[in-house]
Amino acid sequence: MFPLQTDHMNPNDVTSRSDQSVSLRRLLLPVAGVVAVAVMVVIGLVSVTVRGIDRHEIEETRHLAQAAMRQTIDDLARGAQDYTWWDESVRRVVISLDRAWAGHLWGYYQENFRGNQIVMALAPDDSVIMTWHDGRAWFDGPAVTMEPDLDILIDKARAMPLNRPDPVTAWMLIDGEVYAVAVGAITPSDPIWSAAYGYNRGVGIFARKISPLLESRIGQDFLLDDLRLVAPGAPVDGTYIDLPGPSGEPVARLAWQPRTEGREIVLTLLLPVAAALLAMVPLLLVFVRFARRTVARDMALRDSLSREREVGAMKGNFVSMVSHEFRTPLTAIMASNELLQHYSERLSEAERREELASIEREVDRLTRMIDEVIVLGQADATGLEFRPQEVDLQACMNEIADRALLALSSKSNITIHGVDALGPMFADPQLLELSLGNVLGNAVKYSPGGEPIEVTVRRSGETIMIEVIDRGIGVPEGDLPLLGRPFHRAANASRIRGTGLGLAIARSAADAHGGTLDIESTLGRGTKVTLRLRLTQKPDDKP
Amino acid sequence: MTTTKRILVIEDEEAVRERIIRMLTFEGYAVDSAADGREGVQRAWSNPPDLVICDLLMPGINGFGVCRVLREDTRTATIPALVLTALAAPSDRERSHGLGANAYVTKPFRALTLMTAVRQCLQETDPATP
Repeated sequence: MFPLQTDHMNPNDVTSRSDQSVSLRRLLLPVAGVVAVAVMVVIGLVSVTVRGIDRHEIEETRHLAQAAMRQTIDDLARGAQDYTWWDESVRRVVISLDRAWAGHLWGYYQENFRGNQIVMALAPDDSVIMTWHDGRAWFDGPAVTMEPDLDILIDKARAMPLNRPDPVTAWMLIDGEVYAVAVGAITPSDPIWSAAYGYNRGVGIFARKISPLLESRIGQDFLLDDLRLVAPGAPVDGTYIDLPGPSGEPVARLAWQPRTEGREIVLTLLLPVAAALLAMVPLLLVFVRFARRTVARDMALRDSLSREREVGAMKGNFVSMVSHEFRTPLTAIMASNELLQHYSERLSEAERREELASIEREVDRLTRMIDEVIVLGQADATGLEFRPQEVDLQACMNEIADRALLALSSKSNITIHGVDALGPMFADPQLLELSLGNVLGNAVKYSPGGEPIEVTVRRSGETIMIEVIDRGIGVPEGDLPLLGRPFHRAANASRIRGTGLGLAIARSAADAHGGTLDIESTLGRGTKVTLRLRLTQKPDDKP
Repeated sequence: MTTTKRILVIEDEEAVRERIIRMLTFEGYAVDSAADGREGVQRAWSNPPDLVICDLLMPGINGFGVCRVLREDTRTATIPALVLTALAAPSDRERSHGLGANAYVTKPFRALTLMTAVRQCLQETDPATP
């Protein structure tokens, strides 16, 4: 068992907490890094997927729009074909029948049952037989301003083979509206005959406004709710297809905002993912707490290991110091013994007496050291016993001061101030001797020039404060925090005999007396030790 | 009879130092002494002795340092060194030998032990009885 004051020696306590956070940071950093990388990868994948989905959506709606337009115009073309291919009734209606009746009936029929707003019939000589436009019929003259490109369609239609007279279609602007237009050349009842005689063909022109279609059927059929027509070449927010006119040049642009399905998917996915992440937060917190606890436990273990190592080192230090400190007086004793034993005849009587006196001195020194070690051991194991009794502090302090001066045969003078007015009090004279005795002993010992020592005593309530000020060699700054460790001796004290136990004992004694011991010192100027001891009212009170 | 051998004793404990000096003087050696390592090295350099007896635990330059410094200087490199110390651990003994110490005597010591070691270091054949 060694007198170790472990409470003075854990400077690691301060650093361990910051070490702990450093370790935690070290643990969390890679986790955060992995999470960040994972999040970035997920965001990247999601954005690529979203963009892919959206691009696919644009293409798909483009196909849908094109299909819708094709269907519109095919529908129109089929209608045109119905009324131009081998259709005697049409021929009859258009050419032979009463114009007023034909125009009215045919136009009405086309508008209400086939959805065409414009119907025109041209004679083989290109003269207008009749025109139906938005519920009104005209005869013998153009009622509708058609683009000149209509000629292209008419020529193409007439050029179709008689046995395969497909109507020709295109998109056209008529009175500022976009129409699907189909032109079919009327096939004569006897095509071979007609061909042989260069018989020109009458023409049926059918046009259907597409704006109402966009709002109704096409939109519903193709789920494109944002279809709109703009001028050709106009900038479009979203996507579009161009509607080619008779010459192939676009006459209008059909535009729409494609559905952002990717974004919708992400938004639909985001909610559950966000919910899942939110649900993970407590898990993360639990993880962090767990990590923190693990790290703290690890740090505590490391702390205790390093403390143990320090204690181990101190014990080793203690053993070597004890070995050295005890061997030195033993060496002196043995040397005196050897001189007396082997060289006695060469020593004078005075020298022989001196050797015997030296043996006595060194034995005293050894005994004192053993006592000190025992006191420290007791302080370390169970604490020093506190046995207060009524004490005359003045007498007690004078006695301690005299003993300190005598033991070191010092020329110093110890002056005690303020003790006479205190009167009797309850204290432990043994602990007072151990604390004040060692402090005064040090003051005397480290004032080698016999410099005066001032002691001031003050009482404040139940605490008595004793200040011991010397003008001795002082303590180097680096040694101040180490003072009071058993066997530690300041760097400038090596030439002055001492065990390095006195201050440790003084501190333990002050502690047992419910007090403290503080040291201030300037190297070469002196040292001030402040001893605070708690007094008691009755002998059996605890401090 | 050869010339009187000079021995330098480096020892910080006065009580011990004085008694070693006395014993060596009684044995017929001329003795010089120093109270710490620095003083000891300076004395050894300025007036090289025939043997250095050196303590290990001393203020300032300790005994290990003294051994090393003596070995590194041409004036003192070949002077035998006897370590006389309270350190009894084998590691301290090995360290001292590693630094060039010729003998190692632990404290407390018998006069006979010290004198035998001294003579061995000085390579004296006829041991005088202390």
